[in-house]
Amino acid sequence: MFPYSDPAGRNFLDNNAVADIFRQQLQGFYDTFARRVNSGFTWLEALDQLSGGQASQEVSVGWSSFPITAQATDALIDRDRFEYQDEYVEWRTETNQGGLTQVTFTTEFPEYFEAFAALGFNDLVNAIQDVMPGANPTVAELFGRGFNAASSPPLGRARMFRAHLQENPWNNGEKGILCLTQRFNTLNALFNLLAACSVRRTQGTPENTCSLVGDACGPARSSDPALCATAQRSVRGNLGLSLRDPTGVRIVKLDGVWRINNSTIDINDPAQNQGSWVMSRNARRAVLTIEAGLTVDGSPVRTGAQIARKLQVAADVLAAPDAALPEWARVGVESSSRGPE
Amino acid sequence: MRASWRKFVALLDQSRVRVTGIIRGRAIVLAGIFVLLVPGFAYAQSSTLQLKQTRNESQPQLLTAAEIANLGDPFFNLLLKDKADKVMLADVLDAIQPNASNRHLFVVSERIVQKARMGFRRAVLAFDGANGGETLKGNVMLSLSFGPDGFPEDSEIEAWGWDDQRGRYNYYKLDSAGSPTGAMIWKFRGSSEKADLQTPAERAGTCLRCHVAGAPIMKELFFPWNNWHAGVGGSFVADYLDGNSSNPNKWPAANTPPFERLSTADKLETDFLIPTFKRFNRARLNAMLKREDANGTPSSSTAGRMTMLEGSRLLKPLFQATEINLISSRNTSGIHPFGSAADFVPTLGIQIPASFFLNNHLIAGGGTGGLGGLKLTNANEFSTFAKLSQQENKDLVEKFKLLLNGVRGDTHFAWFVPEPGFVENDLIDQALQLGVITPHFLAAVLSLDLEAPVFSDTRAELLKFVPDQFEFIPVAPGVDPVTLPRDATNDLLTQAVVSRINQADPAPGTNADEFRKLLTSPDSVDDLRKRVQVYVNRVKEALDSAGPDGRKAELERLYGLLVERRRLMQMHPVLQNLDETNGQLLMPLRAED
Repeated sequence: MFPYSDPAGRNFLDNNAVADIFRQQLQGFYDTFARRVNSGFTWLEALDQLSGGQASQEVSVGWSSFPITAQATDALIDRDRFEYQDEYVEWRTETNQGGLTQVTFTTEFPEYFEAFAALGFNDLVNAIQDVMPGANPTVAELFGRGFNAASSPPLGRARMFRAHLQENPWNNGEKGILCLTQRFNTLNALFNLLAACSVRRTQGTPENTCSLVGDACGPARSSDPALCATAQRSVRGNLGLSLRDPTGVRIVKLDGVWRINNSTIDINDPAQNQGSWVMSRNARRAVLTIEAGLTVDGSPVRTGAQIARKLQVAADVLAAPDAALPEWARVGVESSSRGPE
Repeated sequence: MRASWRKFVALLDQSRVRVTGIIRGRAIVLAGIFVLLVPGFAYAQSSTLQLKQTRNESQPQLLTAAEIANLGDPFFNLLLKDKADKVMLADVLDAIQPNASNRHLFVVSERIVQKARMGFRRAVLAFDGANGGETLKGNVMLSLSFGPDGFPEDSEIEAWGWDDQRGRYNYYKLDSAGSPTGAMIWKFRGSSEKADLQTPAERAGTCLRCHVAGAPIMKELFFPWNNWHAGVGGSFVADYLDGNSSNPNKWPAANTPPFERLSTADKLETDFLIPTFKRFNRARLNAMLKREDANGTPSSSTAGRMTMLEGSRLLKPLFQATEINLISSRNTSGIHPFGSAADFVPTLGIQIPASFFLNNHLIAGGGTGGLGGLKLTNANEFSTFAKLSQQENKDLVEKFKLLLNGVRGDTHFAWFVPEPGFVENDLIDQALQLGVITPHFLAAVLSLDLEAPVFSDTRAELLKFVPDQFEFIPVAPGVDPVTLPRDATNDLLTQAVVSRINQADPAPGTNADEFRKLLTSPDSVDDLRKRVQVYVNRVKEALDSAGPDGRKAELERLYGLLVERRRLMQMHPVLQNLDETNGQLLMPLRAED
């Protein structure tokens, strides 16, 4: 099995059992979607076994975190995260006396925490405390009232944790935010999108492939069509592709002109930003602290959606000529392929 | 340093001589009064900017010392102050930002989708980081052309720099005008000061011919940035210019050093231009407020009121089409003349942009432009149902006999149409946020001819009722004006406009009478919300529930509006200049347009 790394860069908190569970889960995604018939999406292992001394090429596909599908005010987009925040980025706002004090963004997928949940309640608490030091979640908060975490099988715990994420106060904004929860922001959706868009098409442009793959791609979003067009361009260029390890969506940077007390700063530079913008967890999490005098493009920071307009994220794809891939990874052999050993 | 340099230039000006070179702080005076007296004298490029050129067809003239002393933007300070003899692109870039990783290259062309190795593309070069004490992000940009092999070493370059102290853009050009040998010479080509007040005749042959408000231009500012190299969300990627792409037929330019910094239109929009526009508008708005003294803060009366001195100038964009952007569907037409037959998929959907129907940027606010606006989000509902198929779009192109590049066809992204310019919408929004205009006043104006967000004769004729000077109560910083209860007694602008309409005593049913009714209604914001909903429902009914014939008729009505807006842009004495293709390639037009 491919030694998938911890997407948060925490080495699974040195817990090998968690690492095994997570890797099994991830391998399942790669295996399922690499077997999509006629899709150029393939196993990650294949890109390490290219013939002719070829090396894979990394392509970063970026997009803005602002949910352009939302027909709502910025305040409502902030408030109704599970309805509107659909660009593989979600955020929590904190206020004091009506003023915004902090915005926490996350791109972490729930599968990571599911792996801890599968192992046990205490392991899950450790993972949550690694994100939010001082967190003291209860079983009821994480799994719902009446759930017996101790007696439940690992899969049951993982599923219940996932199912309860919108009510989990350490995730739903009440006490914190842990991971992506909006219905479209799933790892399965990300894999499905790339696999579907990697089927070479003879009609339409790469840009509108998103509209041709059914529910796999949301054409009105920023992220989906960007990823889809990249995949389609790749396969039209006879490339096979896969999601790079560590899999997921990373926070890239904040755009715009930022000032603190009228002095322009590079908000992305920790040496200049006075701690107002802190990225962590392998760029899967970031916190903007709004002190008096912080402005973006000349305006005071009032909402998280305002920041989301400026927040760039990306997913990284590896690509290589289909002909250089091992035979078991090439387009057309999916259903009969033995897959990676 | 800057002050002593200015003083030195002033001394030379008094002596009627020119500074032609300053090397390591030591001035070398090479030319005297002779050059001032001989018309048509050709100037070799010196290390200090010497020349201005007011119009394309006019001879370059010497800058006076006072004019030079009035240039303080980073482009001047880093290059033209003492390195104006740098005319090769690489040298120019090194002078502005020696760190190549802080350079950004953006590409636009009406031929962007044409991958064949032919023709030219336009590049915009932007910078971030700092150099020589100058912050570069949003303060300097260059524009120049390149061909399949990349940038010629001796490119003509257009440039602008933002002078933060004076609150203006300065425009420069490097070309061979005025040189008998064809050598390239930098010239100052004008500033953005009072650009909005210029007549079409005054703009002719100047940078302000296109820079209507004085600000930089990105015509296709918003997604999907039709004509730009982009990539986000299904926008177009010019992979033939990307050295990292898998396209086997890349232009050789893609592998040249400047293209290592190839960037995408979304970055130019969000990271560079929107902040730039907002800053420009803050300067514009502040300059129109009454002040304690020339450089002081805006004056405030004991009652907490501030005074607008140029109300008619400020609000002109709300009533008249002073600046436009070009918006399109986020979906492709499939029938671009440079595309392939396989691009066309009859059943694929095309979403009509909401801003085609109304000024949703100001009515709804939010969106990618991030304006505050009136927060009437039902204005965005059009984007949930106003759609047609590629086949329906093709039928409309046929029916209206539209030509692009001389043949039947459509832009890469369909439904390409002028919309109110963001730079002007933002100015109005800043006026709203400051309290210069109330939500009530804004809603009343936007209700007028609601269905014509741009080029409205109805609104245009009503600007005359806006006074130049009026007082207003500023909104406290951080407070959203739409959350404040309406205070009619302190809505002094609305009162003044109603008073002026009353004095004109318009007949019932006229536009002025309608405007007065809107202004005197108890709550024009709620009136607007209801009007929008009626409008939304009517269009939705016609498209979704009126049967095939009704739907076809409605699409034809809407497309007629689109074609008419294109025609109005092409006929507009100023805005027509934004089409640099002589009506051939920017947008599909009827042969008679």
